[in-house]
Amino acid sequence: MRDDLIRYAIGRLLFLPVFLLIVSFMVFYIGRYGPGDPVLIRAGPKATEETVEQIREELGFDRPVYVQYADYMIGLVQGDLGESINVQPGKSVKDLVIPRIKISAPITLSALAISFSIGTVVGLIASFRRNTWMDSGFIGTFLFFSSIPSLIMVQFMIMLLALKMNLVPAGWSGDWHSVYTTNMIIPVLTISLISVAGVARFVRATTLAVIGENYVRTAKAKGLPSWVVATRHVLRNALLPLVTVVVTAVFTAFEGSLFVERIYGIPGMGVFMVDAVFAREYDIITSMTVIIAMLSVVSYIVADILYKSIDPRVDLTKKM
Amino acid sequence: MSLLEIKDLVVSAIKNKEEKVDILKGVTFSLEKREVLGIVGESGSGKTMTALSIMGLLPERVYVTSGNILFSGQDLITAKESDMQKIRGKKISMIFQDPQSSLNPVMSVGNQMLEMFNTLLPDFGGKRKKQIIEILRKMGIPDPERRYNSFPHELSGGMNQRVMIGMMLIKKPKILIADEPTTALDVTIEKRILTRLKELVGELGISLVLITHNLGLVAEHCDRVVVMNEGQIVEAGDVFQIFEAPSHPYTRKLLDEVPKI
Ligand SMILES: Nc1ncnc2c1ncn2[C@@H]1O[C@H](COP(=O)(O)OP(=O)(O)OP(=O)(O)O)[C@@H](O)[C@H]1O
Ligand SMILES: [Mg+2]
Repeated sequence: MRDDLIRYAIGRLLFLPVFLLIVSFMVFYIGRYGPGDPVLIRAGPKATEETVEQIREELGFDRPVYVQYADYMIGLVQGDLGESINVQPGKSVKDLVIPRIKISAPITLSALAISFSIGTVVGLIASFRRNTWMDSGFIGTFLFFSSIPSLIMVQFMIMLLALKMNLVPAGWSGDWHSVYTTNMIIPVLTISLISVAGVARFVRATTLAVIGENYVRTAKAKGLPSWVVATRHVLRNALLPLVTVVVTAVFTAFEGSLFVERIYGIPGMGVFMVDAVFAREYDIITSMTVIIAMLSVVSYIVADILYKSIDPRVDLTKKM
Repeated sequence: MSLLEIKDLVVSAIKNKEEKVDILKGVTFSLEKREVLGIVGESGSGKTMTALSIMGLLPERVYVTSGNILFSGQDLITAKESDMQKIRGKKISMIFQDPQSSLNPVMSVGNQMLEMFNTLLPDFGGKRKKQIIEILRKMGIPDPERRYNSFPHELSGGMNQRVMIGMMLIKKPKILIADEPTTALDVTIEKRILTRLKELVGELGISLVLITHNLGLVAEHCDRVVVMNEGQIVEAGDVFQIFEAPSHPYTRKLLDEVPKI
């Protein structure tokens, strides 16, 4: 690996703890001073003032916020994500979240793998056959799918694939052990179908830009067969920026699967996060935010390094 | 029979559904074996479009409307794309104005030159690589073994143009079209590169089409010259004769713009 890439990665990773400290601090304080109180939710509507204060004390929420924050951070660096207040009182956040990641991660990643493969192929066909029926036909079809809200799409899928054709179950059953079954088909299909158009249009645009480049004309002037020009000269340069887009797409897809989870009854991350916010689950909200922030920073670094190791023009030592 | 004959070439650009503009309005000239032919004219006069018509590489929405381009008797305008691929780079080569953007930024220059061999067979014993390094050396590139693995952005414009010329000569074509090969470079490098180019072309018996807007270069390097203006050839003939007695007012105007040495 190139020296400058390693130096770049180290530089960025050193900055990561500082970044996470700021993020966690902000989320922690917004939670404590924002609207809503988990203690009231836990105590229930009929509880007396006394009971409420007693619960507050038990949970340690009567202490100054900076003490609570310090306490939380000490736990966090040891891998303790805190515990649930209302969703499953007393249960550790880690135990709650891991089974959900084991469901959401395979679904999201499979959906992305599918939408990026199909999207790339469609985008390439559309650009090489630009302004023909293939271009408008393919792009138009997938644009149609992407314009359907996911909550309608998933219901349509259930109707078609489960109720009518009886190929897959009409709703999720079981826990994370049953991810790799027909359970997966409807959510993966829905999420990927919706996101193909975005990828396809991106690939079409970058490919068209590359096709007009001077070095593509040179490749043709060398007498290379069209498929060599297309693969070796156009494709490689056109797909470079896709590396960065994949990373962004992972996180948006994670969020976007909320409706699909809700309607199909999937015990996944999206539903979990929304429930946590409604229940004012301080620890769940803070810990999840920190984890997502960390993952996104790390994956951006990885994407950057990937991009820059494919593209010899970028010198990272000069840029920083 | 001339090596290359262009007859009444009309090239048009499609502006929108109805409108069409003629970029070349009936261009006729020929190129002989071993000849160095200059094409001069102001910016936008159609020099590059003439060259791209010969290569069959006109940009999108630009088409040959009528005329013939005969290469050893074969009409390149009606030739199939697969036949053109056998001609490009092997029989007729072309180098471009901006060397930096004309080379693929993510491929080493060595690999780009290797592509000229256009074969799936592995390079047994590194024979092709050796041949390429030899060409780089001939083009006056210092330390060619190291430069073989360099990327275009690591080389200067002059170096890249040497790479381009070397690359396009690998297959020893019959014709080399050089479209303002040195416009982007400074004058001393221009002189060195053109001198080298002329030597190689002479050695290999290649006919050279030198496109430029610099009449000084034409006087120094060309046997014959065609003068283009607004998509038409306004004057053609022996370089010496045209410099002595330009018959067309446009040529006289071009000559007046040349700084006297
Ligand atoms: N892609 C294109 N589509 C339509 N018209 C074009 C296109 N490219 C060039 N033209 C037009 O064709 C005409 C001739 O252009 P050409 O590039 O051949 O000029 P040139 O003599 O090579 O000029 P220069 O010295 O600037 O390179 C110009 O009027 C230009 O506007
Ligand atoms: Mg030009």
